[in-house]
Amino acid sequence: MNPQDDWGRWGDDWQQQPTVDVERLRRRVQRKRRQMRVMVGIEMALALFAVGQLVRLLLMPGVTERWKIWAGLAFLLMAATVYLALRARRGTWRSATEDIPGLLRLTAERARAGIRLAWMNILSVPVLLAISLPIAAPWLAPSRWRHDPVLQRVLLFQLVINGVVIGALLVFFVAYIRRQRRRLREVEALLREYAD
Amino acid sequence: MREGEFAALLHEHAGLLSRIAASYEADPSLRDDLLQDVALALWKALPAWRGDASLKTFVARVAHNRGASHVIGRTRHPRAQALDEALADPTRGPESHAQLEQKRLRLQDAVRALPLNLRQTVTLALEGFSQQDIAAALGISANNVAVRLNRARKALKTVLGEPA
Repeated sequence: MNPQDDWGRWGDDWQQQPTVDVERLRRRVQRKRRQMRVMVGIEMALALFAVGQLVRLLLMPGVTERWKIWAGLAFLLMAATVYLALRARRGTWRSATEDIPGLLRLTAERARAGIRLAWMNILSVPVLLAISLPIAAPWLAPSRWRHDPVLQRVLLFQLVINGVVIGALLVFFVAYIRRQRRRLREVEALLREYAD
Repeated sequence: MREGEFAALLHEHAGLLSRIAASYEADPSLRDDLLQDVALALWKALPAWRGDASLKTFVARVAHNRGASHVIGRTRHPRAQALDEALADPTRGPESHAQLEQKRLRLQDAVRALPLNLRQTVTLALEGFSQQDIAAALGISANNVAVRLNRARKALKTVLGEPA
C-alpha cells in the first residue's frame, strides 16, 4: 500500500473520534477567565494593603530610623515580588504562539530562572536575619527581657512565628528546586528527541 | 475578541482541538483540563494572529504548544512500554467495543506512544494538513516533515501490526 493510502485510511479512522462539548468548554473557559481576574484583583489588593501598612509604619510618630529602613527594604522586596509575578505571567502568555523547540527552550529557561530565584530566596533568609537582628538587638539582651513578662511573650511569639514561616519557606523552596530540576531534565530530553 | 466570535471559533475547530488533546492525554478528565488550557491559550493568542498562516494552522499550532506544555507539566513523557500496555487493555477487546471503535482506539494509542516530534507531525497529517501547512504549524522545514512522516508511518505500521 502506498503512503498516501495509509495516511488516508488512518485519517478516516482518526477523525471518527468524539468531539468536545463546545458549550461546556466555553463555560469552563469563561469561569477560568473570571477566576484569573479575581486572583489578580486579590493579589493587587494584598499588595496595596501591604504598601498601606508600610506607609502607616513610616508615618507613625516615634518610629525609629531603624524601623524606617526596615520598612523601606520590605517595600523594595515587595516591589521585586510583584515585578517577578508579572514577568512570569507575561511569559506564559507569550509562549502560546512560539514554535515547539522555542517553547521547550523557554520552559527550560524558566526552570533555570526558577532555580536561581529559589536559591536567592533561600539565601535571603540569613540576609534578612542579618538585617533584622541588629535592629531588634536592644530588645534581645537578656537583661532587657529577663524580668519583663510582656516582652518575653512578644519575643517568644516572634520566635515561633518566624521559625515556622522560615522553616516552611525553606521546605517549599527545596522541594521547588527539586521539581524544577526534574522538569529541566525532562525538557532537555524532549529537546533532544525533537532534534532527531 | 468578542465572546460570540470565540464561541464560533471553538465550534468550527472543536473536532481538531479534541483530537489534538487526545493525542497528548489518555485520561478523559485530564484531557478536559488540557482542552480548557488550549481554549484559554487560544483566547489569549488570537489577537496575535496576523493571517500569515491559515486560522486552522494557527489553532493547531497553539493547541500543539499547549499539548507539549502539558506533557512537560504532567511528566507524561511516553514510555517504551506504554503502547503495549494500552493495546493489551482487556477492556478494549472486541466484546466491549465495535470493531471500528477498536481500530480507532488502537490508532489513538499508537499515535500517543510516538515520540513528541513524530506525534505532532502525524496528528496534523491525519487531520489532512498539507506538508507545507504542517511545516508552518510546527516551525520546521517541509523536507523535515517528509522525513518525520516516513519514519512515523513505519513506526505506526509496526505497532499496529500491519505489513510494511
